[in-house]
Amino acid sequence: MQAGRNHLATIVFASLILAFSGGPVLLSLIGSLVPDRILLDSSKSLFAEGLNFEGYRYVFTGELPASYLAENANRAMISDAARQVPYSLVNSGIIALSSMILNLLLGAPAAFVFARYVFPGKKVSFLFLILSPLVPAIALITPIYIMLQSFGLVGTRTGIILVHTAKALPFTVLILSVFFRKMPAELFEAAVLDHCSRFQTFVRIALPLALPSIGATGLFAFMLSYSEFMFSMILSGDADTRPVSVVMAALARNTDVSWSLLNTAIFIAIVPTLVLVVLVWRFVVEGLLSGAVKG
Amino acid sequence: MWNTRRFPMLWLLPALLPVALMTIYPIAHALWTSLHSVMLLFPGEPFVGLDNYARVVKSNYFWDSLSNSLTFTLLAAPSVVAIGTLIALFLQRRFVGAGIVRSVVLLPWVLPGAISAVLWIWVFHPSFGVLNGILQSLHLIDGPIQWLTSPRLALFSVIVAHIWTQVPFAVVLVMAALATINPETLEAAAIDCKSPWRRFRYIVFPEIKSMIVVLVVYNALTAFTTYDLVYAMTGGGPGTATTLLSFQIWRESFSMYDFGAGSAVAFIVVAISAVLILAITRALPSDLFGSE
Amino acid sequence: MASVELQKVGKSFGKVEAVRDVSLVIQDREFVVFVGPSGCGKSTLLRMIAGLEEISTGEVLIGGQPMSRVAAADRGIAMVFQSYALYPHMTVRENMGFALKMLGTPKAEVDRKVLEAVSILQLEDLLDRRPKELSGGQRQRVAIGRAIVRAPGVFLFDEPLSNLDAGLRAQMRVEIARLHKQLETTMIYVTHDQVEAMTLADRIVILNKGRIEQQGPPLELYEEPANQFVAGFLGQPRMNFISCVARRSAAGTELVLPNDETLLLTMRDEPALPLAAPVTLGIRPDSIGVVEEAAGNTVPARIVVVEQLGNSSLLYARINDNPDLVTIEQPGKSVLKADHTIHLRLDPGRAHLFDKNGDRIRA
Repeated sequence: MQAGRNHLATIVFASLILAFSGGPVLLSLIGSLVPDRILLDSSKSLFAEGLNFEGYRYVFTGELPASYLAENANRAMISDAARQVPYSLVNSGIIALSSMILNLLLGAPAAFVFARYVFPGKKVSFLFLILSPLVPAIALITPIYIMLQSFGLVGTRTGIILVHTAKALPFTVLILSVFFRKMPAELFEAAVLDHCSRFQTFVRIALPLALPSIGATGLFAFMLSYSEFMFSMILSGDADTRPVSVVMAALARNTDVSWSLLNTAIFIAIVPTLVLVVLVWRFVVEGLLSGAVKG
Repeated sequence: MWNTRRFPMLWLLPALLPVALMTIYPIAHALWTSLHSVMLLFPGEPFVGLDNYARVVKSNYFWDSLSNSLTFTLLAAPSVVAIGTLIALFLQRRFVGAGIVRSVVLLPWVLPGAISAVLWIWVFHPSFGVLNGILQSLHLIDGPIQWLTSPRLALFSVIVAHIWTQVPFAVVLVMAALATINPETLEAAAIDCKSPWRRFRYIVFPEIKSMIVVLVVYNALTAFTTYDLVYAMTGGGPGTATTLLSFQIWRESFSMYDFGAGSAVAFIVVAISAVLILAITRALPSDLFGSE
Repeated sequence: MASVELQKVGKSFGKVEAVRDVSLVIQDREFVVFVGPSGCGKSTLLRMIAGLEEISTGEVLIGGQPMSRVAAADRGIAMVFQSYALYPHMTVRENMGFALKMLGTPKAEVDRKVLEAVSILQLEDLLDRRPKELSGGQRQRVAIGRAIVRAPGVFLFDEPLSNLDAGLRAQMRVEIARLHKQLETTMIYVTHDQVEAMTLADRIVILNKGRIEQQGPPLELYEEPANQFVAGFLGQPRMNFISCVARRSAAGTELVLPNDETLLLTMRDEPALPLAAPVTLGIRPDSIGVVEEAAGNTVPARIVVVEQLGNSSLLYARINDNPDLVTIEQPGKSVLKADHTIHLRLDPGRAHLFDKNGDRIRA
């Protein structure tokens, strides 16, 4: 009896978590597949007219849904911003990938020396690094804008990449140094006895061993960049440089836009993050958890 | 752990320089600007001392937004950690579909704030939002509730959305802390102590306490400086009901072009955050620096 | 092939002194074992010789050369680590040849040297496996093989057998002894296992709290311990220590035991003792006889526990209310049971006396 009640509690709690965390996303998927006139009419059941892919067709091809061509349709319901979603995904991809690669290139050597060496200034520089992301970005946005403007980087992807790289680097260094610290010290001592210089130890021993962790950390940096909004907004220019977070914010602030179309845009923007969730869970979180058990 | 006498420049500068560029210079710049009158409409940047601060502190909107920010922080941070801990504890269980639940829990974490905002506008929509729909079909309410447009409820609604976006990170960190507990300790506890609550209170909680403290302070900081989600959901309205301190920086600088006042607000935010950062460093486990 | 000399070396971690003022000369081709309880500084001392740990004071010489400015890799030493420290992403062949490869040795020569080491250790079939695919004993042999390839002047072993199970440990012990004969190289070996120390060493160095307590050939340390620590550390089961008071009498030195019995001690020579000095009597479990009836120079005791080990028996007995039990080792199966009262015949000729500082009182 006890076991049965326990089982029921598990199911109830799991469903609550699923509804809380996944519910809003599921709603947007449904919303994207049902036209507004059904969505907004409580007398009709949701799937009375079957699934409707007009929104998706419009976003990718620009072909207007038939219902919006009617004479009395509100033209404002169609937003060009929705059509920018696919290309903004490309922008986000380029920006996030560049930030990820830069993070690993710049962050891994620092993480390695933090993890394995004692040197003067270690504590100060490490504290500076891990505390810097706690300074609220909103407070620094004006000076950073002015600084990048003087470099001519406002309105370019390069500017956004630079800011995202700097914002993710503390996390990259922190996570990677945790991984490097978990490697057995004797391995590095053996390398020293085997005539490895610090650089050779790093390249020939530490990096090959940390490869899965480096992949995981890279994903994390990618994710931070992909979801960042504020700097993306002030630093991006026209549609050619706008990442997905900026385009979505523009859509969200447009109160006239069709719900169905909005949800279509949302769901298209969510798909890459769904893939990210699975990857991040597999590599980052489980890596951190399993390592923690051993340590 | 190896000793070296020299600071390893070549290894550290590539990481330290970009971070310094994006923090030290902007902080210095914001400090300078906050002590000068920098307005787009009036050329020249005379030194005005603490005038900007005085002007900001005397205005009503500052106290409104400070009170909004504090309410937001005090409600959001503990809720995030409590819900996150609850979910993390639950996910320790083994059951069919646990993998799916774990992945779905993470979902809000990777969504850009703007997307989360739209999802929650949709949930809170008065006439066809799912929340009112459920409440009405259960006959708990008579008419639709204006979640985002009534001054009393708007702040509460954006806090819920904010909690939704922050819970996954808390779940992951609490799970990491739970994973460091020796499983034999838990087995011993299961034998010694029947009540799950007491087991948590006396065995599990002491082990994850430092992580919880760090999380609460970190979340307080996040909540205190959040921007994008609320901006996208309400734009600070209705009226000033959801106008946070972080908005004022933006509004002064980019709407009013009064960069001096904007920087003064920014510096007040930095100062309050510094107190929180100091609290974090006190709470951090001391072995974080690898001084073994 | 090299000698190792330690001149007053010391090491402190902050305020903690791990090694204090250690001086020691290790001859070429000697097998020296550092032994002591955990935290005694034995591993630190080994790592100081290897150059993995900086030396706070003093100097290490290898082959007569001071090492303070010589990097670990250039000291002509090879080290076998407790965890083996094999590179997980390299095969056995790559692991063993890595040091030579880093030195820029031609590939053919690396291969030749690896194969030489492999044949000494019978690892031929494992050359292309990774450490993950090897058993604990095989990993241990690869780790030793990696050291052999470097043809070092000094081999350093840091508790190399502690991760193996008991059977394998005995087997590897024999193998290491064989290697020492075959390679004719200086070997320094750290262990907390006194059996390894007794069986492998030409000379044992016993360390405690960062200092050398005593050094010498294994049997010499066993028979003639310099102090109570060494006496208690070597020998299994452990030596019994009984607090008593020494008294001079006409017959010689008498000991007053906890139960007020006196025991006449006929030592080989008369120790110089002050009157009524508190001393500790040390006697090994196999030097205590058991008799049924009280006689001269016997002490009554009550058996608390009897352990039958098959080829021998251990009796744990209590003298009076003395909290410390006395251990007696008897050959074969004992017929005695718990709660029996017995009489212990202590063999004064094989007993040691220690003063209140723990130093042995010599004649």
